[in-house]
Amino acid sequence: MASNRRFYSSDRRIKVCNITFALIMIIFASRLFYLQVIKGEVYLERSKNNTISKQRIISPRGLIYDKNGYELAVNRPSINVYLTIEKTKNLEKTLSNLSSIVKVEFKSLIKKIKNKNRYKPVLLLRDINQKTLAKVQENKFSLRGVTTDHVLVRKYPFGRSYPHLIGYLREIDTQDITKANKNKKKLTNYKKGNLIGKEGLEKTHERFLRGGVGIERREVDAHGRIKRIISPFQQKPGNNLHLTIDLKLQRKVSELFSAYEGSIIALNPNSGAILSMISHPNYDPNIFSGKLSKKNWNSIISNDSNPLMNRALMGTYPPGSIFKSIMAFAFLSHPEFKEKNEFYCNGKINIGKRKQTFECWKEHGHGKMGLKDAIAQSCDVYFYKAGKIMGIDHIAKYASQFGLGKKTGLSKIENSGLLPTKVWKKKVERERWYLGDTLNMSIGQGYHKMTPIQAASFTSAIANGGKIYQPYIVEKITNSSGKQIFKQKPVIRKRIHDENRFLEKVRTFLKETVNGPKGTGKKAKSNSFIISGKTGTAQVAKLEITGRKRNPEELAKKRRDHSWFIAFAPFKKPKIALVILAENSGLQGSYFGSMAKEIIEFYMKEKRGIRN
Amino acid sequence: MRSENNMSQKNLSLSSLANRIDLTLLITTILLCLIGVFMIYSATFLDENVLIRNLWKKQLLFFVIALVLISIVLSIHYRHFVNLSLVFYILVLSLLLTVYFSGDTVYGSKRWLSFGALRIQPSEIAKIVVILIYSFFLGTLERSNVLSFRVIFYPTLFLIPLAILVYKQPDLGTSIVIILIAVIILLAIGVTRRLLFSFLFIGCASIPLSWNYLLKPYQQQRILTLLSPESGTLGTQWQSKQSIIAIGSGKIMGKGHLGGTQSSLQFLPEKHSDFIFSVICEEYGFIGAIAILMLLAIIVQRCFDISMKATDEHGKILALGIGILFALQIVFNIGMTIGIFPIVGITLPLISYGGSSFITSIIAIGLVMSVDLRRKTF
Repeated sequence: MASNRRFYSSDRRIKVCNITFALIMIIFASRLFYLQVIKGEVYLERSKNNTISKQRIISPRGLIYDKNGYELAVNRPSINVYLTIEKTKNLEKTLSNLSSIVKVEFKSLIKKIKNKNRYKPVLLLRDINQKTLAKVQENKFSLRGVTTDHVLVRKYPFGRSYPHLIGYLREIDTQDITKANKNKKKLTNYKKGNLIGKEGLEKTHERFLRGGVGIERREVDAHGRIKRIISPFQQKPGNNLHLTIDLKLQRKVSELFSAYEGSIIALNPNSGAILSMISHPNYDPNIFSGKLSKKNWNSIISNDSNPLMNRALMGTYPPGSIFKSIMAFAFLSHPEFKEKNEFYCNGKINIGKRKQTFECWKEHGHGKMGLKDAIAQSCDVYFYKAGKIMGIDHIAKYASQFGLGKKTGLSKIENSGLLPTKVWKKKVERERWYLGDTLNMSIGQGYHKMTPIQAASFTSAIANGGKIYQPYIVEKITNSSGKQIFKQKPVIRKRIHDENRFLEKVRTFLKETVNGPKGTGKKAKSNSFIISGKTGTAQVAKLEITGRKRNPEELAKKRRDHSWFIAFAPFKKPKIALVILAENSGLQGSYFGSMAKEIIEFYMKEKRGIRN
Repeated sequence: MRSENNMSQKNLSLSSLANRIDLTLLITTILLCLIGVFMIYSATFLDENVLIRNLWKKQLLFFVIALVLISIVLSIHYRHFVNLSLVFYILVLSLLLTVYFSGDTVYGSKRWLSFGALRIQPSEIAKIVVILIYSFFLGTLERSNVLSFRVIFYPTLFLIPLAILVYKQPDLGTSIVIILIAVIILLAIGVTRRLLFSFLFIGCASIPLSWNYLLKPYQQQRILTLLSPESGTLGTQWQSKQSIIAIGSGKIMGKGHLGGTQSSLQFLPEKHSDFIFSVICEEYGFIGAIAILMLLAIIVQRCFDISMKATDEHGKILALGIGILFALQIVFNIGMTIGIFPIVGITLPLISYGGSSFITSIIAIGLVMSVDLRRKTF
């Protein structure tokens, strides 16, 4: 112990530390004595009477309107049924009572309350109707612990005519959240079971549409009644979207096209504003609101035609003869056009050493014709020959000027199609570019793939004299108090170089196609104003395999031809550009001329109606 | 009867270890750990988040790890820890720097570092490293030098970067604890009166300065809340008020096990860590609260006792520092829950949930036991 002497002074100070600590502990003990023994009864009373309940509140989602103020997506009140396990007297009995009242299997109810917090209401049934609600309320006494509550669910008034445009909402699950977080898209403020936009604008504009989330602390008495709101949450409804879509036109188009699969897009060629956009087969987005029956879901999922896919943006098809309108522009711009612009069509052309044959759709040929007639009558041989003169590089250069092979910029979820080039073929197909590829390309066949929105974009560029607008659907966004927070201005992505006003010529060719005596688009001819257009029949199966005498019934549905029709009107000052694509219809593109005419006339009449 | 010489050569056989171990300290520690697991379950079993509901299992696992850790720390001479203190220092400093530049943000503070599934809080480790550093520097000094300002200067030089980095997280509570540990060690081992007064002077003078330049608005708010309850923001005011309601409502006998959590405490986000004492008070009443206070006091008292009995200066300062660490944490945490101190994020040692703070406390206990064990082997 001798060495310990040295620390005498510090030992004394350690004792001081020890005593200080002990004193503080005594102070704490007396404070506890005061709180728990002397004032205990007061605090016990307070803890009994005042319970704080935290309520997480999601403000209503923003609404979506068409260009004339018609509602496309709204919120409707619905009634949900909850059960608080703690409040039931006999859980099994309550559940079996409920199951017989609402006619839901007992087992499925049991499943829902498994491993759930017994003090909190558990969601049992979604969106019950008024009749069921009345029954539940009548049997209140045999259903202790069962409560009902109003919540808002999404409603799409004419949902079936625009499901791909707007999309729908689904409950988010834990997987979605972890997945999003992995992709560094933090889904903060989302909890399992919250609604999130899937597909369409509900998805792309989620952050605008979703209402503000907040927590409200409430003081609740022993019976669960709200005594006082401690920190109120000011509801912040989501922002409203005002679209360029014309609901009346949209419904008309959807109705006209109901027998077909494919897509129709109508837009304003002077701004890129989309007036109508449909994709068929469609579905009713309302089935995703409230309860979704297995039957409904299966009918969507098991459909081979994939109704969930938005064909307007995601479907890619060979453009067929509608591509000839671009070919015409490319040929007009070619230096050799002046010397050689008339060809003879005898129904086919042979090229290469092996005398490979490329046929025209008209078996015995069109005879001698110029570019205008070649477009109007959609002569294949003319464009084979023109394509051979121009070569792939020249064609691709002009096609890319019209925006082909690139996304139009309408949406993030969009297919870019495919504009084949020599470089592309070398890289992807590991093969050199053959003359045959050029000829296929010249009539819009071969590797060439286009989305309906791309077709709509180039059609409106022809209509407006060379301006490639970025198509858009959302005209403006307003907040819940009506203040405008976003306004879309037309965006010109590109201008087509057209010093010699060749586009004007192409326009007259398309006018001839519909209005000329031999035009393939005759069915679209209108008596009220001049409609211009171009037909297209895109072959899915190769010519060599199927031969000329194809029988649509014999071909499997998936191998039938696609039909295209592009149009714009009126001729002088176009107000509407239109694309019709009928997937695997097996029909000639010209067949859809009359539908194009009906749509355009409907729109023009409606427009005039509004003005008057 | 073995001679002391013989024992040091054999480096303590297992049976002698069991005989000479400080059983009071060991049993009290284990008791507090188990009470902690029990209370964490009680505080969280109603939580809607499965992860939080399962925290008690994690804490139980930590407890098993803790038993292993205590035996490992015990089997190594504490001198090795002291001698390696500079290595630990560099390690913890780099961890804190990493946190500063790329830590995980939780509740607005950057305090955690993730290594795969493992998440550590370097500021907790910093507390014990500070004690090791002081033991290292002050333990080797001659008696006469202990009093000189120059000597205090060296360990303080090491202390400052740690305190600043922890403060920057921002974790005001822990940085205060780190500084106070150092100051109290110096006072306790015998700095002169003159130095003592200059310490006091600097301390008083720094209060207004630090209020204006060091404290964040929310930290000022917490202190203001305490001084005048009406001025506080709803958040901190409610935490403090509800904690007091929970404690008071426990009365003498408490509401019984699992009886309290659903009434007054459901608002507290930290009820399983920082506010675990409120849960204890609500469920076990005044009796339970006093029992816990006494168990905690035993821990601190044992540390100081072992420090006083230590035959080597390193061990003495080590046990002293650890005693101070526990004392400060207990005072801050309980003072906060019963509304005497502002709300700072300090855990209740051995009881609160929290891997890093729990493991650090366990290592600290192991070191103190090691000092006690090796007292007579020199």
